Amino acid sequence: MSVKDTSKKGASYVKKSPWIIHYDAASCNGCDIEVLASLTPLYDVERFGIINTGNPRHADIFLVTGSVNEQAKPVIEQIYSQMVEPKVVIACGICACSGGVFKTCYNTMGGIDQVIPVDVYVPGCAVRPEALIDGVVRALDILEQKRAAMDAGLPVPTPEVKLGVETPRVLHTQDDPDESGTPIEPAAQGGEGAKR
Amino acid sequence: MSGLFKLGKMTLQSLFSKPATVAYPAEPREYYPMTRGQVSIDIAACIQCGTCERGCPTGCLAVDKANYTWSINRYQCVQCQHCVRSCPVHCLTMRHNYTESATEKHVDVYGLTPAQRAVKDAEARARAEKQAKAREAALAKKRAKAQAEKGGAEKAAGTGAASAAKGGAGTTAGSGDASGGDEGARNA
Amino acid sequence: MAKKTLVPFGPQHPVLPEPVHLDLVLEDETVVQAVPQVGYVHRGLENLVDKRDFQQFTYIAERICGICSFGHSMGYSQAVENLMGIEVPERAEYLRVIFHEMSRMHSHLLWLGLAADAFGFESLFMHSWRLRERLLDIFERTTGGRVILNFCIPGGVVHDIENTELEAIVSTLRGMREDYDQIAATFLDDASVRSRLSGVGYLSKADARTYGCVGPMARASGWDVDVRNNGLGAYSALADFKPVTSQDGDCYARCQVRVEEVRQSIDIITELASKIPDGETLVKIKGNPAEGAESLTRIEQPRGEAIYYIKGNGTKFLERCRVRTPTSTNIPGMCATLGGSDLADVPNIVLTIDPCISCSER
Repeated sequence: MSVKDTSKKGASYVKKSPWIIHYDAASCNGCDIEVLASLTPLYDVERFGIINTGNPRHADIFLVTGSVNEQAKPVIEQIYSQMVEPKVVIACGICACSGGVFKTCYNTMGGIDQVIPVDVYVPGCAVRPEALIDGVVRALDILEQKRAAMDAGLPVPTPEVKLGVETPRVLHTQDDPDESGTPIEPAAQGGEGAKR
Repeated sequence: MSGLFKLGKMTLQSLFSKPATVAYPAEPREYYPMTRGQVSIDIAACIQCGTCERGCPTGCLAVDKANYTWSINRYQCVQCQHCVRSCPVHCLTMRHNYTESATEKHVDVYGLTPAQRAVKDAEARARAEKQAKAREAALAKKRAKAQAEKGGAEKAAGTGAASAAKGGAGTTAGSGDASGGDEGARNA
Repeated sequence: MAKKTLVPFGPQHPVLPEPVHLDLVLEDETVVQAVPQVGYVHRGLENLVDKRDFQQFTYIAERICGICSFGHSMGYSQAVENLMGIEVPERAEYLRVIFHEMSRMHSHLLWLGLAADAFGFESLFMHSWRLRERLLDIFERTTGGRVILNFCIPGGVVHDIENTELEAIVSTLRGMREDYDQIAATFLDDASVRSRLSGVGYLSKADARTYGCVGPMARASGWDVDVRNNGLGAYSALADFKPVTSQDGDCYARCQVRVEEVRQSIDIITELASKIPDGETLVKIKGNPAEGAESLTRIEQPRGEAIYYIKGNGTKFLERCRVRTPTSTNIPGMCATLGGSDLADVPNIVLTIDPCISCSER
């Protein structure tokens, strides 16, 4: 099954109703209350069959918030290991994506992807419930791909833990026909001036 | 038993009114004009002063003056609007739509097209030339003024007998010459 | 001789919104002792005063806690203004108090939903959070964010709110009141809620003073401690203000106090919106805090009294910023009330003190 990007209008969110488990790893709670607000009547992800369970062994999607601190690191690793394949990790909020304002603090790791493999990043401070729903829909597609790989007996595609990995850069100019921009090669970064 | 029908009125009303749920993503969401979504830049207007980079509380902005680029890590921006408020040329704006979720992080670098870069380079060269010319003119003016003063002092020293005796001994003699020259000029 | 068992509670638990660990020592079904272990949310953000100047630190102070976010930005801004001797325009003071009271309402509605969910009353959780969405709508319309507002900075507020907008806010709150009264009555008059919460987790007034409890937890035990009573800022414009107290001291009393405080907040906002003066809303700050200057500010956050201490050292970076949040003083009181309670009552007691662990650990 080829890798495809989920569009918002896709019907993949009706294929399966995943259960989520949510944990706050050194977060300010802003993103956590928005995660809970997605369950409440205005956004109501329970329309899609999503239930917030307390048991990692029953969950498909792991919603993590917060820039991880040293004491939360073993807790996240334990919850992740207790979940059963296929599983998806969604990093909710800026702190979970990259550490946010707390990146330079002395005991924060700087994001969830420094500890466990992350499949979807949802930015926002605090993350909007609509962005979260978009992220969950994207995660459902990834879940389908993982299950297909498991059924076929192939190894499950898992992203890497990005400990110490630099974020790639993408260039946008005004007459760039492709809105997604052009990736900048890391080797040519220093010579960007020399190129022109 | 007393609490049994307390929510009855609300429940009955909800049978006949619109549901409270916004059926996102089937129904698109409307934003308010003030909603803080993501920062966008008009890169042609940016002067690469670095005020936004210094003021950012998360350190997600980077300005490269030599290459005329401005970059933002949208996975680190907390949408506080500090950069939008502090930009001196107002080239930054806050858009209402939030940054989309993604499977990989990336840093957005905004730069100029080669044509725009050529224009900016030409402007920078013209500015540098103008500054060099102005510096040259100021230096020439200063040298001319010094020359004029020295010439006047020599002329006055030629007529004054006392200054001729003091002359030729170095800086003190030079200043003596000048003062003597001034007096001589005033007398003359 | 009853057998003692140790049951770990948290950090990951369906009832807990935030991670805190309690080691419960049980004898059969009764909790004998509760030993807390905190530190799961500690980010060490007070250390960031070395790296971010005193104006940028407002954005960090806001993110100490997402629920009490506006309170922290207001307390920090007031502390900086005291430190540098800056006079804030009166209109800004009124706007700050209006938003702070709305923040209190949203926090209490959030707490009501979580407390109801803790013992299974899930439909009330949905109703109170649905009502809370109307407040978040007001926040988004006026400041741009639902949870983190970025509205209050040292010197005043970021932009002005028109009087027409304030009238719209007051009419929305008035429309909410009827629904809110129904929800509050459902919660407080329900027989099963009363039987689960009455008489549970009793804290006497003397104990509340000994353990140093603050906020609704102390006020439910009969001790009327409330910083808003001091009449600082725009609170001095209120015709009369009496803290909501109760004499019972159990979980039910704490719920009653919070439910009543929401109604009090609606009244405060209505009164201040009618009395708000015209004028500027922001003064520009010039210069840096003086060396050795110190300031101490107290505000009444939704969970109790919060103290902000900051010290300058002559540069644009502060020397020290220390925040004493209400939950850090309430936790010892909570552990005292847990002694002697049933295991089934533990989530109720923990949630009725309204724990905000990210505030207490910063």
